[in-house]
Amino acid sequence: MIPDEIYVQKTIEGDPEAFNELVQRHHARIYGLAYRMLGNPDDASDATQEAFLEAYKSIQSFQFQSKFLTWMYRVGINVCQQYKRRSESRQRALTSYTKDIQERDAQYTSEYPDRVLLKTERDQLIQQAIDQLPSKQRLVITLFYMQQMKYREIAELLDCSEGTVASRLNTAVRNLKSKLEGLNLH
Amino acid sequence: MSLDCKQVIEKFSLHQQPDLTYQEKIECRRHLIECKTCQSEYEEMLHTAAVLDSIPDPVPPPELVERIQTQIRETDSRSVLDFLVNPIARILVAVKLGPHPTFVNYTAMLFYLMLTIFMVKLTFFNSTEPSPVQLTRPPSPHVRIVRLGDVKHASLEAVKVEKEKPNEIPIQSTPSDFQ
Repeated sequence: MIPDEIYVQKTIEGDPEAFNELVQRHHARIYGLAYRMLGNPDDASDATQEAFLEAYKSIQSFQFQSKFLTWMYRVGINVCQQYKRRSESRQRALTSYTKDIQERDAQYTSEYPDRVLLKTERDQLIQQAIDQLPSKQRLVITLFYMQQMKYREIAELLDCSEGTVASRLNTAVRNLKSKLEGLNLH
Repeated sequence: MSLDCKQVIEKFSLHQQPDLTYQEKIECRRHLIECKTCQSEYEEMLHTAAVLDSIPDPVPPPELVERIQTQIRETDSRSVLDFLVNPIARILVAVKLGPHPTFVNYTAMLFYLMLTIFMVKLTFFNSTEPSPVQLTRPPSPHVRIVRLGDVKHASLEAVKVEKEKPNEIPIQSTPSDFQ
């Protein structure tokens, strides 16, 4: 597979199709991050689009010192944080997330109605427990457990030490555990 | 938890394991067996991972990629137009000077204003009549006669300059004067 950095170089030289290849490769990961951070699919789609556009415009500032995906995550996190500040996504999150989960699982409901309903409710509760965490802890949990990133990568992304990442993750897990215990899920 | 415990948890976290050497893995495992604190913390980590893994990954809408790619293409074609509208800004960006956008815009406006004034002047105020300077008589030269010395390699000292004597009329001696 051709490395991302080759496509970045081509993009800098003026080839927009090279960047579109990077979009094709990484949009699902950035969408996943945005979805976990913002809590609803509409905002996640818009934020993903905005993040890639922002990255395309500022591709000249990519220094080839880190992986493109790490740099892209940083752009994505910045965009999501801006989004959270300026939109009332918190209000929309619950209703839209519930709707999304219901739509996604609707096709399986006919086969295993009891199981699916239970699972959906459980997923919602876990997601709500994650949403209730402070934003820094939620971000670390998302990057570590859901985006499968390493401590070193998260530290580089958040511009802090690996020790800070570890302690933040530790606190986040404890907080999440106490919330899930209240829901009898953990 | 001592520093050693902290290092073990950091090193032995879920996705770090492939990066560890065989020796490091052995050491971490031995520590986990001996240290109850690390053991419970590691189990907690595994449990959390299992709970979070059970949530399905969000699937992006299928039209999202196409939407982003279309916008990238539009942005690229728009940037060509931007160059025509404000070349100064593009050049500054290209050389990575990165000044404030307001400064760039005002500089561009000043540039276009000066260009407009120059073009208007060139078009409407370009007269072909001779300039008034050419109508006046040139001032008479002060130096009229220059003689070079007789020496072969004339030097500046050898140059003799005679000033004109405008009102003096040379008297020519004629034979009748002596009569």
